Amino acid sequence: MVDKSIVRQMNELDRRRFMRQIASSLLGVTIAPVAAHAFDSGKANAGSKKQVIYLFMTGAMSHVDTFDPKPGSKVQGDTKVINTKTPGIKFGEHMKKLAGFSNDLAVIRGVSQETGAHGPGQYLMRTSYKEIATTSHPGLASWVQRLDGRISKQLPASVSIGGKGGSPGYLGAKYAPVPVGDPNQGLQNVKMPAYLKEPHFNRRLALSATFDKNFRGLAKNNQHVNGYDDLYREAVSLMKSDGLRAFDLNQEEDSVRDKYGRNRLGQGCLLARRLIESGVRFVEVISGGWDMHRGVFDSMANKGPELDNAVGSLLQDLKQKGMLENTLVVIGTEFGRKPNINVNVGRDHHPAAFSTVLAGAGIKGGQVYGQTDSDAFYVEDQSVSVQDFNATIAKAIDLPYEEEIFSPTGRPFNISNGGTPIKEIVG
Amino acid sequence: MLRTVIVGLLLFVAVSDGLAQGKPPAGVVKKRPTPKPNEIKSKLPAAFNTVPNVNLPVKPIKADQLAKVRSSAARVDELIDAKLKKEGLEPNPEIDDARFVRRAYLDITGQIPSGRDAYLFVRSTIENKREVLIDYLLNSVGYSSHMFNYLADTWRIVDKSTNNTYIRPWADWVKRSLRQNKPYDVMVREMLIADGQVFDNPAVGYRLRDVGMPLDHLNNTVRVFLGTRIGCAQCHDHPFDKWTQKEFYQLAAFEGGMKTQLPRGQYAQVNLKKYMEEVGERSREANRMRQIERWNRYGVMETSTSLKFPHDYAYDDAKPNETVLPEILFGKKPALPEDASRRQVYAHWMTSRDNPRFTRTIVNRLWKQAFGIGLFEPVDDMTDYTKASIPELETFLISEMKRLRYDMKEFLRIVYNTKAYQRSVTYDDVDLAKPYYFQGPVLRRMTAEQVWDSVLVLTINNSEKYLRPNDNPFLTAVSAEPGMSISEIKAKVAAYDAAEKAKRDHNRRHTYRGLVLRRASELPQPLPAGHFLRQFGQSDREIIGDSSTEGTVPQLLALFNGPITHIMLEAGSVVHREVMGARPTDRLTVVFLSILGRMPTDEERVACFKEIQENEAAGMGNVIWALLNTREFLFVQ
Repeated sequence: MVDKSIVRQMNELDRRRFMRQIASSLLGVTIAPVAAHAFDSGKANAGSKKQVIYLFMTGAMSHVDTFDPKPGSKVQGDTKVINTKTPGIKFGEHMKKLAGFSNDLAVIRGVSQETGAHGPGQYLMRTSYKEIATTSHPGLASWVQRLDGRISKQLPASVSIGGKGGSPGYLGAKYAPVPVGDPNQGLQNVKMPAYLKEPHFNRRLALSATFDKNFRGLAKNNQHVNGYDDLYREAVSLMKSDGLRAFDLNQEEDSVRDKYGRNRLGQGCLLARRLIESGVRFVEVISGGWDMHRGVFDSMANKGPELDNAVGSLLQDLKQKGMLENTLVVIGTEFGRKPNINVNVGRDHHPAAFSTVLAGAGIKGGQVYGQTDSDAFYVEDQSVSVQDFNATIAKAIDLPYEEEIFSPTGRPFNISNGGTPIKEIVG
Repeated sequence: MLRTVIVGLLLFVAVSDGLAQGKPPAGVVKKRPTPKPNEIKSKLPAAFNTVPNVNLPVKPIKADQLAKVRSSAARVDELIDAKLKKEGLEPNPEIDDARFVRRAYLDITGQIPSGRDAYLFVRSTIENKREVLIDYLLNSVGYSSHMFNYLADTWRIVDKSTNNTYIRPWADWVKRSLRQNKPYDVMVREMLIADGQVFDNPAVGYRLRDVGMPLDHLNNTVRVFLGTRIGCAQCHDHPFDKWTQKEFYQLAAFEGGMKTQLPRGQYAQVNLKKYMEEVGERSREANRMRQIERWNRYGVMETSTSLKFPHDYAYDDAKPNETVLPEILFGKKPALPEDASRRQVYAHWMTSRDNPRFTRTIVNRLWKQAFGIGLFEPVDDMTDYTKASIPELETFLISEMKRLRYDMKEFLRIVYNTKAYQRSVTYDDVDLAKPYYFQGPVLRRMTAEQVWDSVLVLTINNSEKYLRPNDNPFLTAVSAEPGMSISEIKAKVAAYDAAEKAKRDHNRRHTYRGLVLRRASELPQPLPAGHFLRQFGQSDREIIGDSSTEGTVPQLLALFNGPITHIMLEAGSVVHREVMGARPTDRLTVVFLSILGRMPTDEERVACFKEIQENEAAGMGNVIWALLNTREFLFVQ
């Protein structure tokens, strides 16, 4: 029990220090000044660590209408086919800007997997493992942080924008991406109310820690409860950070925001660029609306240009700022869409073959890897598993992709679940 | 016995009434001084100062079944205790009343008890007060609200499944069905058989949820109701289970004649073109009418069309493009009249008590609601080899579900009355690779909806009485018959605008600091990304059961600095009023009871006194803030 008289005797400075100690010993957090280097600047120097912007097209992006067109085939439907800057490589008509960047792109046309259900498909793409009841696998963002750490000390290691991205799984909250639901809103509630001064905030935290002591004791062997330590630390550090402007799209010129497209994906890509510039290691941008069972050509007329503008602008900016060499841009999706057009002028699920795209971080661009048959139905040549694809991503950013780690239950895992990097792309 | 129950029920009515008037009922608990009238002006919208005159009818549990409930609960305990003994495990200790009341409120109604309710329950001297509380909560609107949130996550309930399919009536129908305590099998069957438009038959919303994707809809249906994943077999024989692509198509053939887009003649408006010309193709009115016209295109109807095998069908047991004859996956076909439609056969087979996976699945899902972990996991990936951790318990629960004719309330009533449920949670991590034998429930973080609805308890009184704007005027406005005259079209557009405006106005009355303060089940389905509920893990409803209870940084920031926390510290919030209305010496107790449902410990009292001594009013604000920001608040013990 605290002796009240002693507390009263302490001078203001001592009292503050006292509160801080309580806060840090009970909660593992304090908002008090941390070592100065943690607040160096909003611009972090990535050094040798490569970064990732992973654009996840949820709902399953049609490969025929984007990166694996079949000119002259009946499966092509209304989507026209265009040439790219790279001789011999053709895209769907909506990928106009990306056609101009084809020399930077490695298009993988022979990815395939087994499930045609969105949830399990997305899970596999993000974790390299099948979804099972007995464990929860970490997503790529958490893997990257686990294997090779973060860049900025004050901004999160990873951020997911626009939806439910990868989870940290058994790695726990320390490795969790910070989710930003709506890129236009950025990170909300990050400023404390104006009337509240820093010492007050510390007092509140210290009080909270006192109240929580009993429960913390009961749940001391609970990873979920303990994981909040890391979240508190991250949240408090973010509140103090002067790198927060990275989350604020209002810092960008209107013309820039227009260029990326005033939609979730476009603004998400712009926010991703800002975060990468400021030293976030891995940003996932989630874009829904690709589940085109009906009216695929009408839907493509919206989503196609949206994707093209967003990624085109992103690549342009990254190049201009000299960041593309150090940043891997990924376009991924959970599976493809059935090439034959259904009665509702849509395309159904098709896990047997789909396309993904890589750019930047020194990968070999201007190439297509893998080939589907004349109907874009099955992979004919250079088939790529999800595991191989993720191993390629890991290799591209210089991660030790073969390194094994152990889950809390002692089982070994690795980032790509034993996949092999595509040497034609990452050497 | 019966008398005790009735007295108990009456007592609770009395208690609730007393609460509404700010008075504890005489003779039940020790007298507390009546709180002084609050003289501080509320900053909350005026709408929250008066209790709306809403009386949602709730079908109560069967009072005379208590003896049976007791004996069934005892049987459940016998089976669990026998298993624990066999495994050499100790059950967790029984929890005290304070823990129980908070957990029961959260599990049954999805929100924490008010400080008063928690206090009254703990102090009540009725012998069987836990039974009485369980019945009371199952009979509250909160039960249907909380169950709706669960079903909304599982069934992927949305207000609009595409821009052209408005299916909010389905969500309202689900809530209504839960209040009526419609048997689960009946509810599912009604959705599977429903036809017509959502305006007339809201249950079609289930099918319109997946408009244009019949095969995925089939996957979802089988996964949700039979706990089985046949999705892989859509394209090829299932690699890890026994289902073949042929079986998948045979099952799909039952719905092979179902159409979701009505023939053009049914909705085409002869005078539409004329109207558009008159108001201008690009005018707001024209857009309205276009929207109305589109919403009327969708509905469910049965045709004589047959399903065909895919053109690339690769196995020897059927030919590409050949007509598929409907066949069930397992079990036996229900005995139905000759003229029963394919969909009726399918729906009756799916929901039959002879379909083992149907009952197994709902039993396991409800059990998980109470204990936080299923008899087997995951709840929706069953194979022939799936075994419950306590098979005898599962067998018994299945027989109970059948005996109760799929009455979910009665089933849960048994579960909540078990000793096993009323034991301490298991705090340690549970190894999912090993069977769990139900020493007690497992520790869980509140769902997003539980967090939000609990925060509302601290903010506004009678939160269950504030509802979404009535949708009927809007539905009347948008539901259109073929061949309307120009003047009818004009009236429609005007009615549409008026109905929209009425909804907006209604919402505005419940809005404070940009947030509509109503329970999660009474808000749009789902909320937009970035809303408090989504931050805390509400699903976007694209994927079955995709909600999350993982903590994130934005969640903490929302509780640190967000508008919700601010509202709570504002004059007029429930917690503010309760604290300011209490005697200064009672204030700490009131605030702890309100937020954590328990009394402060001595150490906590010292910390609070110090804080309040130094900071006076702001100090109490800091205490409230600090309590809200504990992990204890967020977890269900």
